[in-house]
Amino acid sequence: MLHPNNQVQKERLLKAEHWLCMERALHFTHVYRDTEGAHPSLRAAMALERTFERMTIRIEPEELLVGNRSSKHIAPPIAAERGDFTFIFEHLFDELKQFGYRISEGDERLLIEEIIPYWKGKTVRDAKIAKLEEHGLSSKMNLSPPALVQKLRAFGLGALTRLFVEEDEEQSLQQRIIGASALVARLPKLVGAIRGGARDNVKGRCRCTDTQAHIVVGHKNVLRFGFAGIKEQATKRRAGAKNESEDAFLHGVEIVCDAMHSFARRFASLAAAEAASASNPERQEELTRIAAICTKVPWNAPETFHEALQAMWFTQNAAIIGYGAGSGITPGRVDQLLYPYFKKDRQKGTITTEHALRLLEELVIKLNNNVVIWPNIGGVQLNHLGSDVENITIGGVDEHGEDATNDLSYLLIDAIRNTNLATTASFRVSKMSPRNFVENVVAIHRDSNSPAFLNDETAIAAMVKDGYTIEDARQYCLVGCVEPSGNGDTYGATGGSKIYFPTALDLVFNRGKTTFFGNQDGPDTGDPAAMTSFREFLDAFYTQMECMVSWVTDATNLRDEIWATQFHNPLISCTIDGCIENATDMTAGGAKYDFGAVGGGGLGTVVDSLAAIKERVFEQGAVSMTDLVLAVGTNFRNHQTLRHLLDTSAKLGNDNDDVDGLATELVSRFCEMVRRKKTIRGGHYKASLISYGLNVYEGALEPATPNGRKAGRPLSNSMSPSNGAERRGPTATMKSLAKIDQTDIGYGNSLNMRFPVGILQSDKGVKSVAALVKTYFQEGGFHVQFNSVDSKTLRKAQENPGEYSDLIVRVSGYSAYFTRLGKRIQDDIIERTEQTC
Amino acid sequence: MLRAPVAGMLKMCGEEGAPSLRSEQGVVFDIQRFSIHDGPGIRTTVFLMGCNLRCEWCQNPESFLAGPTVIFDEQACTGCRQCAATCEHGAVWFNKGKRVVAPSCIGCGRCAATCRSNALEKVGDVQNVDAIIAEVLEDVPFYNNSGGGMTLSGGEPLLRVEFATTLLQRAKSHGIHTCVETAGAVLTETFTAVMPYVDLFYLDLKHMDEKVHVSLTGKSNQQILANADMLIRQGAAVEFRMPLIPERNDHPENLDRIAAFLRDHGVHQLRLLPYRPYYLDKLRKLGRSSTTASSIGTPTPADLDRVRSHLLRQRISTVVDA
Repeated sequence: MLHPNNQVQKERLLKAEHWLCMERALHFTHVYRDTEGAHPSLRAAMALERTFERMTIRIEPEELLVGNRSSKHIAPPIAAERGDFTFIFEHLFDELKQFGYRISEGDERLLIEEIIPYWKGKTVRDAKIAKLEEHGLSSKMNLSPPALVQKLRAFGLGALTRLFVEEDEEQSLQQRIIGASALVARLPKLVGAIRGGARDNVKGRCRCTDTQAHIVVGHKNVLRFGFAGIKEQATKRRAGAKNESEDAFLHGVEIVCDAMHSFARRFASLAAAEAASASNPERQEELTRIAAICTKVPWNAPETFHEALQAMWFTQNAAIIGYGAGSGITPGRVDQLLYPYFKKDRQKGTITTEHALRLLEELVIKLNNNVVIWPNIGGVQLNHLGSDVENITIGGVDEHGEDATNDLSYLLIDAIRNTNLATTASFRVSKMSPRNFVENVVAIHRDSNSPAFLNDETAIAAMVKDGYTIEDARQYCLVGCVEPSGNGDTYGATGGSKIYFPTALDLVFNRGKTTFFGNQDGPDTGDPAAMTSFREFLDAFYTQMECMVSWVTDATNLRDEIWATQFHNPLISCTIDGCIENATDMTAGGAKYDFGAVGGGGLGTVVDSLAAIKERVFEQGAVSMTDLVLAVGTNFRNHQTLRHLLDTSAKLGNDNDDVDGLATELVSRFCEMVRRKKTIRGGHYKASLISYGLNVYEGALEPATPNGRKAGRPLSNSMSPSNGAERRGPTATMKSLAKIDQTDIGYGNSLNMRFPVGILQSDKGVKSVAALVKTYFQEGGFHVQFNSVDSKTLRKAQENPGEYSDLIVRVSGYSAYFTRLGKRIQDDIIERTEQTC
Repeated sequence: MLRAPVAGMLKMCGEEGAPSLRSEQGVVFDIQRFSIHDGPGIRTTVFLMGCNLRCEWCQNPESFLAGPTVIFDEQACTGCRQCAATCEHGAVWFNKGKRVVAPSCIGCGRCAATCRSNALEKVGDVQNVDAIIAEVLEDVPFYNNSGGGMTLSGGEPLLRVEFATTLLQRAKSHGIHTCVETAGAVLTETFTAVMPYVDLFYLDLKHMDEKVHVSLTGKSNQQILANADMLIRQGAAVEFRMPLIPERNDHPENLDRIAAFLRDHGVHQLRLLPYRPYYLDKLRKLGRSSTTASSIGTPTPADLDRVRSHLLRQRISTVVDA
């Protein structure tokens, strides 16, 4: 049972309106305007200092943990300097309002008249686009008549309009006409958005977002030293600064440490003032305690559980204000970080389990106040109300390799169940994890849909391969969706840069051009119809893929230069191991460990396509390559029989060694290509196979593929088989994917499976699913997560969203409210193969 | 009109009438991995075709047939005639838009493979023991972590005793836990033959009155009860199950007699399998839509409670399978 005060907080969260708040954006704009030419660390430090001094703060009547993010209960802090959100404001403001975002008149004026104009040409996004163009890496749309004809033939008008309107295939003609005329009315604005959106693409249809981050904050250092201690280290190191840049960074750290101190004191004063006027003696006592705690932490190191939790939440919240929403700022191993304080309190008898649970429930509710607007082109391809995942890691081994599951691990399970929100939680499972821990996590599905399972053995082996010491590797935390990263010692940047495997096929078929953009991006790998063996075809495919990896990492390095030279983050940097020692911001290479990431999308789609080509074209000769290229280039129009042949060939996820072998080779080649690339900060790139729930959007620009998938349809998600491809049940799927050496995939992969809702109602069901997880991990799997609702429920929820507003589904690595997702994402989730049982 | 079973090609299977198979071959209509309702742990359930009972509520009516066949869903058919073009035996054609199948159809399933609207489905596949065991072995790690194994089901899996014995024996030789789900209407010698290789039998008690049993299932219950008696006396592990069919076998008198039979054999547990109408769609595709079957109601929670408390008063505790 959720604590009554937490029940109120939960309802407030679910009922709150979504606002856009310009406080953070405005303070940053003013400070950056006034400090042009100054060192980036100092500019960032001063902007943060100003924000923490002046932003609206408040304490809700039920809160024990304090620290708000913006002037409204739900309003993501906007990082105008990044340019991703301001791009949306510029082009799709009306759509955003339509999705329920509100903005005050004053804020709207500030945004339009002051914020956007100042940043024009100065944002990360603008600078990135200029650099991409300068280096010939940007993707322009070829709108010549032959290219347009090719696009139209490949996608059809339907798939192209679905990019912009929420079209249902069962729509009536009347609805279609209304939809089409609305589209025409929006066209001028959309053209601007499309142009801008297209400029954001790297050639070869690769993606490189404006944001970096995706990082585990060094909460361990805040808890250990307090910001007072961190400042002391910076001051000491500053005496030995070798140059102006080192000095400026350390000076910036001193400023932000003090700013954190004053920020906390503002809350202490507010709590004390509210205590003085409180009529309820119980609340008065709570507020007095909050005032005392905020006076002490996070400036000083905490000593009690409540203090530690407050210090962690306050730092987490400040880090998000500082970076701006939409960047995967991660708390890390919450149970491990807090356990020593809990244990001490328990020994002293100063805390009850009930009270600890109440505090953890409140933390979970706060972590769920993370609605974010995603940069998108049409407004319907992405979940407009996505969540900015603040993934918490629970369970696993400690630095010595011993099982570290503790009382707080179990209490967090209770907190997640009790709150029943879309909490993104990652449960680390090792060979030593207690059986009832795993079963308790499985049973969370009875009420909610959150938990992801991560395999310690695979993750730790992957981390060591990438250069971590074994002790540091064992402390890994999950960032963003499922990316393993160091515990406050790593500049991760685990998300944002991505290639789509099916595009490599498109490039082979069109001899170096993508169908959607139509430019000569890649090399001409020859006429596919002249290829005499599958190996020859595969070589051409890998040649194109290698080019894509080069383009995307080149582009990412260009983007990273902008961050490294212009946009520092002394607040998060000073918590990360290495930055103070190296007197360098994390964006410029200060962290102890440094990596970049390249994601690969559509594994299932491409493996099924390659398998179909191998079987039908090269082995059986049932389909000629000429016909195949024509069929995919015309979206299978007049090629229904050929499409059926492709659709019925063997697919990934059925424990078929031939097909699985293609996946194994592809993943290993991809990871190797990525690993050879270096970041500008000295680290190397790591591969990931996750789709962040964007596989629907990703498929929208992809022509038909040789697995029978039609143009514009979703790609397969993450590392999962294509929807509908799993024909032999979950054990076969797991065996298929376990053949891939997943320790190569340094930044993780995700396997999404869905069970009918009933399976977990029995203990037998829970035990069976726990055994599935255990076996998949024993075989080398890295991650698995389950959706347990049935498609009937989901369809009902689509029809009556009001009645299902609390229905949570796992999108990909994170959870979301089903009824708030775009229609096409909903459809995709419904389609995900229902496992037999 | 749905295709009627064709004599000669589709023998309705009893103790006789199965297609000519070598002893290491069987007709499998499904191998279900991650099966969690057919015995302990995670299991692979091998469903064999052919049955000597004809229960009107049977959930797997396709297993009444002895050999591979192609079933047809007229509602899904788009009339594209691909099946007629594909058939190498000239056994399929269209007459005034209706699909017609000739007796020369051998159930090869080539037409089903090319059907784009999924209106055709091949049911049943002749497989040999090696292939089945190879598939069962695929999930050994899952059995080990869950206490699972292989289950033979059907149809009546013990109809072809040699084949069943070989399968079970082979599974045991790999250390795999084995279950058999049987209706029990086979010779006692059959049970004696497979017993050494079976860890757990699931045996159905459908009705205790011989005449009613004949009318409901087409066969007497005497052999079933004798086999149950033998298994218990020989110390085999047996779990008794009862398909709970409203107005067919759920009246107090039958429950009393089942309870008495169990108690007499020192058994105090019974698994109830409440009737589900899911198979009606299969019946339709088999061209055997049955009015009596669709008249059976689904047991309500109140029905279940009544049955369970009645049995409990008779000192029989019950487990309800989902």
